[in-house]
Amino acid sequence: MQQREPRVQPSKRNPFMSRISTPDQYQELRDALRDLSKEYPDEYWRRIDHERVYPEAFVDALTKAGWMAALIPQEYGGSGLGLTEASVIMEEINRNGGNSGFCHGQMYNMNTLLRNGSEAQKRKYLPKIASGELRLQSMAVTEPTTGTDTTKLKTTAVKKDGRYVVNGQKVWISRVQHSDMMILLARTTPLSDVKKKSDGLSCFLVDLHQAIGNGLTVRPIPNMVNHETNELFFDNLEIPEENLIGEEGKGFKYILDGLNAERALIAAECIGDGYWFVDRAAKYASERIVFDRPIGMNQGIQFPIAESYIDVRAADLMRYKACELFDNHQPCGAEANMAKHLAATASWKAANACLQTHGGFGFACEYDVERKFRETRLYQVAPISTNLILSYVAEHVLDLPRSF
Amino acid sequence: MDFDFTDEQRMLKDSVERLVKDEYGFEQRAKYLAEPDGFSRAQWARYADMGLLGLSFDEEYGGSNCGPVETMIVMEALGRGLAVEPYLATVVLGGGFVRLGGNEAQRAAILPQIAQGELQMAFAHSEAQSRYDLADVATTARRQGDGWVLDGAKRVVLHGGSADLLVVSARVSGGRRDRDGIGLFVIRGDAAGVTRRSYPTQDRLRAADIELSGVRVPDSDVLGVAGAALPLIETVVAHAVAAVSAEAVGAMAAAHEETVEYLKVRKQFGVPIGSFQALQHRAVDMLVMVEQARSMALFATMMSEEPDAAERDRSMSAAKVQIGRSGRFVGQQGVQLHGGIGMTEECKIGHYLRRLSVIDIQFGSTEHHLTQLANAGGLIDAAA
Repeated sequence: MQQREPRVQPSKRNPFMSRISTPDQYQELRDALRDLSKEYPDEYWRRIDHERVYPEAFVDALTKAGWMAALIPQEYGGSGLGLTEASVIMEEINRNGGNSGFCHGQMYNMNTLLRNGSEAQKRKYLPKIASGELRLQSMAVTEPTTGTDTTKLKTTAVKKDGRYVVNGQKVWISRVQHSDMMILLARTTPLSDVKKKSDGLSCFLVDLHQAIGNGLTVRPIPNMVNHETNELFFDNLEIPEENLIGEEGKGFKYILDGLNAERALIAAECIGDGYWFVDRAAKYASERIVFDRPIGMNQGIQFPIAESYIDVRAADLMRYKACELFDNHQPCGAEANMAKHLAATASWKAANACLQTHGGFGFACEYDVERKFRETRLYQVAPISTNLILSYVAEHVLDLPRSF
Repeated sequence: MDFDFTDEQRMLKDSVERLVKDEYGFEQRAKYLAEPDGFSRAQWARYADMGLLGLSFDEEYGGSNCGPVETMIVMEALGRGLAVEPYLATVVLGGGFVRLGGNEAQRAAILPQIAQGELQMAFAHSEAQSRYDLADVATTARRQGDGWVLDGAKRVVLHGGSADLLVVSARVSGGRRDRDGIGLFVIRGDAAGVTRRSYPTQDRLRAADIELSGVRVPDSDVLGVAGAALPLIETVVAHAVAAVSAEAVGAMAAAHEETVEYLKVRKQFGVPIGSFQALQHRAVDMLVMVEQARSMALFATMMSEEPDAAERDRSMSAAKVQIGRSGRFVGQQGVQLHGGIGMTEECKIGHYLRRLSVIDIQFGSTEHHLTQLANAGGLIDAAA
């Protein structure tokens, strides 16, 4: 067998402009976010993770630069960009080593308000959300006993003397401690009194400063990543009538808009993660020498990285499809779900390939792989588990009988 | 638990493996397939001479009173060579029914003839609607005088076209899928009222569709008690599952060896393709699957005589799931690693895939047995 020469090339890679970049029409947007991200390098994110704190400085910088207001129309003080551009923003944050999970809620939660709120509500809140003065980062839907079976949720809001009185419990409600307002989904008409089980649910805006200690108790849930998430307990919390979003009883539909946007954006974050893992893995595999040659010369090393890259690129296309439909106000449930499934699967595969490529160093905090590995693992489960996406596609796209 | 073979078992293994090595070359096998019944009568006589056909029968019937381990040894060797003779149909199924369910007269009449290679059998059970449900029998047995009259249709009866005797299941009472009410009847393959249409299956073995129209059977040819035959059917099928599991292991091991050999000789880019890591890893994955299958085939063999039927059937399902998964993986990867040549009829690897694919669905597919396991209890309740 002939001897193969090692083909080692010095890495020409700039961590922010890697070879794997795909030129597209959002290059200016990408460049701007990469410039901003340079101010918050790996060390910054490592410290935030280690100290389990909120990346205040980064989120402030994003807000000041106007990125968090991307989806808010210009007339309300935002930049009036589409979900596509918003997804590129999220992607770039993750692609450059950060974690959008800290702040993506601020971007998409207001969609429920924007698409369904009254003009007065929009005038009152959106400009402040756009400026960052008001943080609407939380959305309270999931409950301990219902999981994804949303229409069965047990939290009730009963109308009484110009107010709604809320009782019940929520779980996995993120960023409550870094929000001023929260969107709440509660049942206003009992399940037994509605024709369709998705009727009778309503959306509310909750002023967290007023609510906490006055009927709302927040209990944080320590978890595997530095992600602030909580259990909420409602005990006769009163919400002013004017904080109802849209029509009473139609909240499920309003929330779905927000959920689809969330799924498309999280797909983009996974794609950002996926590119980050592929980039780091390829770089390390080219530089690390074992048995006198770069480990990247092993097919056992390079194929999983190549496979991951292919999967990330493919998921990337579905993400754009979902965003395009959303931006054109067309139904996008299937595409948003499929994008999230493809992207989360791809990023997890890339995470494993990257960790394995790094060997022991993959576990060392200073390589950041273990942190990103933990962070991207979340998206196998949140905001919707992969199995539920398969059920959704089977039932709603393929017309198969409901399996549960 | 002792997994070592006895000296006798080792001798048996050596002699059957030698037979397969000497007599089941690719060209030789093609010749056997071209014979009228799709297998070699001469090889069958050789099996008889070697004592393979009476292996599991009592000595008084010309057998050597061996157990499932010996059957496993033979089946694994036959699997290696993709042997096409009706060993499963005649010895394991037909012989199994007579051995375990026949009365003294029936055993004395049939078993010695099988052992001497003079009689071949087939199990005519599955029907167009029955899929893998062993209790689903629509063929009827009507009482008439001091005998029975059979009417119905059996499908894909392994080696049913050439068998001298057929063990036919038929319903004497109850609804189509009732566990009670099934009888087993031994009839001649050329009996009046029997029409057989024989054809090759995917693995190049032969099967037949059999129509039964007013076939008369005397009481003396009923196996056991007419109407209470399902437990016997389940017992014999468990033996058959263990046997095809062993056959599959033989086929997988041979397919794996063929593939590894090919990786060493086939050159691309100036080097043997076996020097590529991705292919080495694939070959290792295949080996892992072969060994998992081997363990489960051993398990099936040991559990095939378990008196607790529920426990036995649970074990058979577990084994069959692994056999199905391993067989498909090894067969498909074998073809993949051979590249285009693996797709041709002239290359042996594709024939292993054919047989392994058929074994996956014989006596219940992987999915069927997963469901059986889920429903066997002890895990979680399946979704309503």
